[in-house]
Amino acid sequence: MNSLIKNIAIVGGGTAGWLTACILAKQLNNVNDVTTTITLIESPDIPPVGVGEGTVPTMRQTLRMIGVNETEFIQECDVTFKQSIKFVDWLHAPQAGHHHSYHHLFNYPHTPGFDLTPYWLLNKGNDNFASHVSFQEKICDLHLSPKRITDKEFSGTLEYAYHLDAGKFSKFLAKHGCQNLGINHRMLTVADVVLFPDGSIEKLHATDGQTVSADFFVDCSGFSSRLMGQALKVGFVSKANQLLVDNAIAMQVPYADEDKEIPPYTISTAHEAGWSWDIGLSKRRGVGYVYSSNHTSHERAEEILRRYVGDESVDLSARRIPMEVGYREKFWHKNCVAIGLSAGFVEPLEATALLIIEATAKLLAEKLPTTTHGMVYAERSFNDISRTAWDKVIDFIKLHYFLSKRKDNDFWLDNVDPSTASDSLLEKLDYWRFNLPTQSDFSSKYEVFQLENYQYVLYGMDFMTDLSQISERYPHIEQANKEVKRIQQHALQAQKSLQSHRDIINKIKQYGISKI
Amino acid sequence: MTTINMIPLDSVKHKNLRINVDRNYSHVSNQNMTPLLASEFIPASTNFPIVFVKQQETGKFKSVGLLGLDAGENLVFANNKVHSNYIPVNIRRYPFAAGGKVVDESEMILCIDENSALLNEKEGVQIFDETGKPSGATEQVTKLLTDILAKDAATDIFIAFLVEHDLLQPAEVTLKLGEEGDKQLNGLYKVDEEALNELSDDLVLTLYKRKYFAAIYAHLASLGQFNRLLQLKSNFSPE
Repeated sequence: MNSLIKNIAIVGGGTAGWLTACILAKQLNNVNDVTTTITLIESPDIPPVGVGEGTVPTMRQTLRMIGVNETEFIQECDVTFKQSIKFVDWLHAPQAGHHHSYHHLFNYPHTPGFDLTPYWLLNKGNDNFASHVSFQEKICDLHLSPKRITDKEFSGTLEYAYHLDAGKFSKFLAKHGCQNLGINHRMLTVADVVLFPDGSIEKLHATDGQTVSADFFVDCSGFSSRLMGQALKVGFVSKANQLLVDNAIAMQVPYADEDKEIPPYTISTAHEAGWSWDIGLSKRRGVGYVYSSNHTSHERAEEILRRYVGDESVDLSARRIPMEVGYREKFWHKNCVAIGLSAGFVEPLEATALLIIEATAKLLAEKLPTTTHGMVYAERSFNDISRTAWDKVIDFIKLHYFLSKRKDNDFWLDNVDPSTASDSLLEKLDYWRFNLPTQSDFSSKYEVFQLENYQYVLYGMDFMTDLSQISERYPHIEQANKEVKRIQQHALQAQKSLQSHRDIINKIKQYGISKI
Repeated sequence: MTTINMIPLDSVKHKNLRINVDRNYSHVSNQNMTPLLASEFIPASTNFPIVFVKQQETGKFKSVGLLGLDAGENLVFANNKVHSNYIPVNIRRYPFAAGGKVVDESEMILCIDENSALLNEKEGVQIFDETGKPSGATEQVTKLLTDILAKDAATDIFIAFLVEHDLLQPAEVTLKLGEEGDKQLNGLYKVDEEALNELSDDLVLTLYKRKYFAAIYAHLASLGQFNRLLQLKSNFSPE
């Protein structure tokens, strides 16, 4: 047993499948002399879920790495820019028309080497944490583009990611993968998975009688988990005890006015039994309500969604998607890896779906052994890293709920019950009551959410780190004030040089973005 | 400084106007660059650096002559002196400009900067003659502007060719300003010599036949003129 791994079959033609195929094709066929054949099998009978419309800034690096042209991507996938997630009504239920909100910005706090956090905590004024440490909040509020038309491909004046049309995105990647990266595309529906005696996958039988053999298989088949779950019988670890939502209802809302400003951020609004996403693409909005069916009915959920969208929702249909929060016991088993919904699912609160796909596909490209020798170690290492990454993602999502002071529904009361949070999260939160969160609290580089992400959520949600007993450790008040002034000046400069988000998207469609 | 206000030339409204000739071109004394046509690269190259910059509105590249090293600084046309033996046509044409349709030359509309300090009713060159017809000088300007439009379109095609074949790269210019330390100039682009040398035979032949090599090498040679600007700057004292 020491044969080369040179044929990889990917099952599933959604975003997970195509993104994985492109990443593997680019990485494996660049680094190795061995030419790896990558075949993607798409079922003409099974539509993709297609609601993953939010990304994080790593997507820029991923797209550049696989050789995508940013202009074409923006033109063909109805892309807009995303600089933040704005959380509305998460801390308190709205009262008399007053809505609490905070931004989780993509620009990290603006002062490398100098942490403004303790000074903000000790001298709390009227400004919120995000606007105190970064000028990006101001840019977001003004609906300005993070990028000027003179900024080159994949770079901006501010950090950004994308909002995209998931259906168009997988078609775009399919075209790129087949034309430029040599991926074989076959339209087949898997009927039967044939295993070797050792339990690894030998080949796939399709409904039309065709056979697909490969040395290695990647399961991107979505919730059905056709290979990992159904064929290899790898179990599912439910995390429903921590994250209580189990359904989503989604809607596509056309713009009534084509010149309407598009917020350059995702809006996440808390409701009685869950929260809604609101993503402005260039041609329409994508809106959905994620909720717990133990705390509300499907009818009531649709009512909440329609009320949120307003009059525009009247003639629009809504689509319900049941979902189960959790992940597979193993992500790599024998000669098969699961990526995407087949591997696990958490609610799309922090755009983790595409993020985890990118991260695991890159990890697979790195870890895939040249020959079957080395498979055992690669499998164990991949599983350890992936499980930690998933647990940390779940902790971070849970954090958003756990800090809420809403009491308008059992959903929110149940969410702050400590028995619904992991020990690792509880331990950290307890520590942070009197100690600043630091980089060392995030020791693994495979944790996708780091110190800065936690800071935005913790202090956006009024979490109190009490430094009053050690305030003398932070004597550089003058420097802190200077930094804050500098950030405010940056905000003013940026306001002058940046244009409206909608205008820049239109300009990119007209003139394109320069590669240099 | 008054702002430029280009309006179509009007044979009634502008009947009696004359233009003072200013051989010092002081109207550009606050501009640190001027648009430059590819056909001007050779004569310009011995006077000031020729670089490519992105237009603020579209992000598209344009070729320019660099005349100053700071915002609003012009070292070449300064203090009523001209430190260049070549005057770019886009400076020479002033106070006239071409408006209207670019595609069809015959539809070019002759415009004039109504706010220009050169305009008066007493001295200088007549715009219209006694019979109300455009003067000889005006006819010449019309010809010049028509020529500029055509050559500007050709320059855009030249630049699009450079972009399409990845022949442009950021020009990292660091100026040694002595006591003031180093100064980095951002937003300037130049031809990538390495990429140029690696072009396929087919493309080399295309470049040659389109007479692009002359412009490319004039541009590359002109980059030596940054030193000249520095020299002018060291002798420069604002009015």
